[in-house]
Amino acid sequence: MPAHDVMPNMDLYQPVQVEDALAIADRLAERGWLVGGGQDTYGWLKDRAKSADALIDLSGIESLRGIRETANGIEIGALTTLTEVAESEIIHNSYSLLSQAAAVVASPQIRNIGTLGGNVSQDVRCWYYRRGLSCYRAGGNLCYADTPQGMNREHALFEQSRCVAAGASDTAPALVALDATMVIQNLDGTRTVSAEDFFVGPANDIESTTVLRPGDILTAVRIPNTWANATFYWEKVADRNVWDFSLVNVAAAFKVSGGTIQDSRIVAGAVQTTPRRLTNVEAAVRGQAKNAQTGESVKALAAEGARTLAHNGFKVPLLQNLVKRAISA
Amino acid sequence: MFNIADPSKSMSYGQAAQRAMELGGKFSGEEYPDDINPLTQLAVQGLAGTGLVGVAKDNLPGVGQPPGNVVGFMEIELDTDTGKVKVLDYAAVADCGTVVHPKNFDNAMRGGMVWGIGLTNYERHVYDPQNGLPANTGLYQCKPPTNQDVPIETYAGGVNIPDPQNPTGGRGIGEPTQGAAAAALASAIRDALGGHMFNTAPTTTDMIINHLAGNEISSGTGSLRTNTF
Repeated sequence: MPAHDVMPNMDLYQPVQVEDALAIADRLAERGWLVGGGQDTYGWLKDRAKSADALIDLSGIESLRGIRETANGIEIGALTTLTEVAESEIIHNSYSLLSQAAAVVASPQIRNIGTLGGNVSQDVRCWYYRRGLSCYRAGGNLCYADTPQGMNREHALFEQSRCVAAGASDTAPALVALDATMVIQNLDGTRTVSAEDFFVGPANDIESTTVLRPGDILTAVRIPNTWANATFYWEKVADRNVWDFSLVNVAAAFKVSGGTIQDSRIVAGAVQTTPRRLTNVEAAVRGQAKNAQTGESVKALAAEGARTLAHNGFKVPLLQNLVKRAISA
Repeated sequence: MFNIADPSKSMSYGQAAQRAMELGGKFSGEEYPDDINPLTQLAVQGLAGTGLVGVAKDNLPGVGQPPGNVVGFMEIELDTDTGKVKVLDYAAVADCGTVVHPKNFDNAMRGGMVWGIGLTNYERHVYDPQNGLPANTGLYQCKPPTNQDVPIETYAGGVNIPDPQNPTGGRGIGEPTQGAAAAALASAIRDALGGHMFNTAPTTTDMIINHLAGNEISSGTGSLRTNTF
């Protein structure tokens, strides 16, 4: 546990052009730390649990802000604040699933500063890890949470691999449900990754929750019109109604015709490190009536394969109930 | 300290203490009234001669000061799918003696309700006994209720009958306001769950879900046991 003395010296870069930011990020590589709204970063620094040689503050890059309509959907700049996402008419009109998710992230103050790019890139909220303990995710060789006496109420049900931390983002499941694409730039150029592949679990990379590597900057999120104006369902359950992380959330999009589900994307958050697409539930409801009876009949599938820890067993019925509600609504 | 009639005559606390020690007797605690309690006598004896010491027994007539009492009534909605509790309405009435300061009284009654809701539904001490680590070291982890977790409109009233034992007629209602709201919410949750008693506080979302799902595993009791020393 590091001492809570003064904050260490850090260099601060404040580029106003993406090109400059990319050059700085490339040059600093592992020594640089990208900051958007800083709502995750400053917690780490203030708790003295992590530090960086240099902060690369992206907030001055105007071209990374704003919501644009494109030929086949919309593009949201990574620095667009969560408040802007929640209040955007364009998003609300066709992709209200994302509006709803963004509107319940943390608190109004945090949404005014926090960005969409930061919300999807944020680190996990395991309190042992956040405390600065040398766990697997921090490069050590044990997990403090996955023990009989570990305080792991908020932790993962699925895809545990040494680390059992759950993802903290509310917008991430919504973006996966909307089949979004993440636009990533580095000095070599621009690449796009589907939201589903953007998020990475501990089995594949235990020290990062995304595919972003040193030198990469997430510059935008694209939402295709494939699921525009679908029948959406969003629900977040947290202890408190504001300023709290999801215990479980569910983001779902349904294409319904004559009361029958033609296709769907159902995604749960806070049940594993990454948003979890419930493909078995999606398959089971295809061609079924979108009603309470269908919801009740398939809800057990949602938790198939769950491994509960000492204190997170409640997430199984909670996940099942939220999936039931998504289908019933 | 200084002379009110002639402010130019003054001395510091240190000088006053020094003077009292020089004068001795009743000024420095070497003499004290006969009616003070034996324990106080021992205390005065220990302090005698060390400075300006004043000793007297409170001989005001009275048979003790009864605490204020608050009765709270709460209506909630409990979501059986999510374990979430929504407080719809709350009314509290205090047997508080004379209401000395109506605005302050009102604030105490409503503020106490907020803390009471926190005590019953949110604010849990989480501690890892294996590693000796407290888990909720930040305000966002301790979860005091927010303005979205409490009803906006509530009723707060005072019986307003003066307490004969108190010079102002008032009684303290700092803590009873919380206790009443906490108990009212715990009772309401019990009622909503068909009489189930958790017998502990707080009753958090996960515990309510586990109870409703008949989930024996990770019922929350394990961690609570480490909490109720």
